[in-house]
Amino acid sequence: MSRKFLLQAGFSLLLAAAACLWLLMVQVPVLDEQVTERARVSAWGEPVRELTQSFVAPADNLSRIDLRLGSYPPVARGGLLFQLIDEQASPDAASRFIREQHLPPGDYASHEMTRVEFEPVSGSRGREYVIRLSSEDSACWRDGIAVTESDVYEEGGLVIDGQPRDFDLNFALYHAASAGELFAARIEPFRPAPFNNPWFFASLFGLGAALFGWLLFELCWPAGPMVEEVPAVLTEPAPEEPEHRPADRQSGGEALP
Amino acid sequence: MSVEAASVNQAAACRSCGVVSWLARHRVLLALLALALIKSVLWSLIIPPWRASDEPHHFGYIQHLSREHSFPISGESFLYPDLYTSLNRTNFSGIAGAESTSFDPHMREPNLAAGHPPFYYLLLYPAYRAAAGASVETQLYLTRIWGAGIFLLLIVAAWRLMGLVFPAAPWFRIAVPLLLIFHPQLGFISGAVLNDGLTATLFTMLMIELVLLVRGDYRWRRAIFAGVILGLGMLTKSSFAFAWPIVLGVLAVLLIRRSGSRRRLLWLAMALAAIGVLVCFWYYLRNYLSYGSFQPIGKGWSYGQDSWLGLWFETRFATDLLGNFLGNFNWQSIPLPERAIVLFKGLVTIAALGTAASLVIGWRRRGWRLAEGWVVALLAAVLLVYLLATAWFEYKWGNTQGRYIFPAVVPFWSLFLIGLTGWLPPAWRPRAAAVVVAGAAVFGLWAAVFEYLPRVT
Repeated sequence: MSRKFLLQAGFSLLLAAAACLWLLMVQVPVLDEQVTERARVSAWGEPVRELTQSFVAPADNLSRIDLRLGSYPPVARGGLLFQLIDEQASPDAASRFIREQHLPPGDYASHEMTRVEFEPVSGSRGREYVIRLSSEDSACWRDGIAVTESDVYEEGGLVIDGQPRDFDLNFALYHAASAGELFAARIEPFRPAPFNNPWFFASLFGLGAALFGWLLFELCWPAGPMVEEVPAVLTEPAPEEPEHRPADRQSGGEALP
Repeated sequence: MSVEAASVNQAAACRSCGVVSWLARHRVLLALLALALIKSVLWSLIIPPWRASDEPHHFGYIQHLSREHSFPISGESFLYPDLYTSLNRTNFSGIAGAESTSFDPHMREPNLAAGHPPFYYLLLYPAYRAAAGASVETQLYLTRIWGAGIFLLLIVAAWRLMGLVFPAAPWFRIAVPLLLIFHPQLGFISGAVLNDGLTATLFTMLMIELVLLVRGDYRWRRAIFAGVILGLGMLTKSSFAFAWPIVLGVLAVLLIRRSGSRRRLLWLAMALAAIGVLVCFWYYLRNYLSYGSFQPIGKGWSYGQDSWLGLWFETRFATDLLGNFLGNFNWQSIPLPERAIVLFKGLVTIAALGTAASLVIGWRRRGWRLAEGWVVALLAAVLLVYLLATAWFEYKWGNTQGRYIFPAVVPFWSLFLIGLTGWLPPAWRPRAAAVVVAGAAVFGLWAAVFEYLPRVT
């Protein structure tokens, strides 16, 4: 066996091993709750200084919150301060403020949801939290907050400048999950055997990584000429129709200038 | 050992030698196909039941073929009760955040896919029949996996096309199919029961025929193959009609430039057009007799612009089209993050400038030439025709999606690769392409594992 073949095989196996290791260790934010999709979105057009939305985490390891802050076309102005507060922690506990993040206008002046990611909060399942958004500039956060048209979220409520409202902020909750949990939640149901087996998936993934490694190596260091694809009729004149010789012969290498 | 036994053994050894030699010669293509198959199967399986655009309707088309033994008629063909039962069981409304779904199995909702031509559905029909007796979800998954064959054919077609248009750069034949394999939206669409993947495959096959014609292959088989592909494309999706101006444009250029072969070319053009029409006219005639038009089209959501230029320059149409082309899953309800779209737009801009730079460098230094001018012109013309056609469709009917430019997916990735590698010294290009492909692989994996799977419900 040639040295090149051994190197190529080694590279493929290394990539497959790395891919499988990644699959074992990866943590993926998995969507649990998306209030956004439950009702049509409308824009709350009045000036706002502060709003709070309470919620109950549906799963352990709460790790990401998506907020739809800008409607389309984007009209929200000024930066926002995002705070995630553990409502059940004592008021002076350091763990009360889980996450504080400045959201510059560019982050939410679009048609997509703004993501706030943080270290997974263990034991979050069933606990009550509050999202607090406050305007950072001296004026206020004027317009463009996307809210639901009715009170669709039963486990919590929205308060704007101290006034409880009968609609909710558009938000989505994610928790950090391993590849195995993701598989059980998203892939296992409804697939016929063996397609509902995680080992089947992991094996295909590893094999795919090995093949990709092999092809990547081949791309960088080709073993030799690949099969010639150009049909003979293009390289040799057709005996029965000499007047229809290939154009590249007629024009010295170029079919068209 | 007798002489006969020895000769039989020798023949068997030769046969196995031949197989090994064939496998060795085609090892790269076979590896690409194996990877494409794995990708297709994984995408088919990670999409929950019925979560691709109008998938219940496309699947309902196949059910109609099987149960009524006829082609469905738009507005008069309905979804079947077992399909509704499956939509309830798999919580179809979960897409919109609902806890459960409760369709009345006996409601009569017209099949929205009934207006499509039948070729794609006929191709998937054997898989559906083979799964007869299984649950509807099992039938759906087996039909999806069977459809992977269409993607494999696209890889073979891309491999062959790249071999023809970049004979001096064999690495293109690996890199472009790999870019197709890792294209998130193409993975999603070709993993579901949707006819757009087949239009991409057929158009790529048509491009092979066009390139062979441009290169001077004027045999009758070119006209026959091109005509049959054109007709089958029209039997897959009526938007394949945009291939006609491309084919006629190429033939017109050849007629002007190849004065010595005009008569032959004219015959070929006529034969091609006649065969193309012959293969598909019966379906459109049936449409005309049934609906009074060749193709029923409904209006959808639009950007609300009253001018074509306004659509391009005063709305998000161009950005959305590019974003939807790259990855926007389900009913365009799971877009990739804006930052990914901005990055992709930046890369496309660099690639466009790089393609121009590559042409200039290749013109000044022949040894550095990656692509002939006519190759770039043909690829760019195809892409431009499909971009303009998609914008026209949006302007006239609305509801445009990135998958409508999938027939030009191979030209797109070819130009992308020329633009990112073609201006580099020739010796660096394969490794630069490897970097691009590795980036595409990471991006494709990220899109599926971190964006699609966690967000689809």
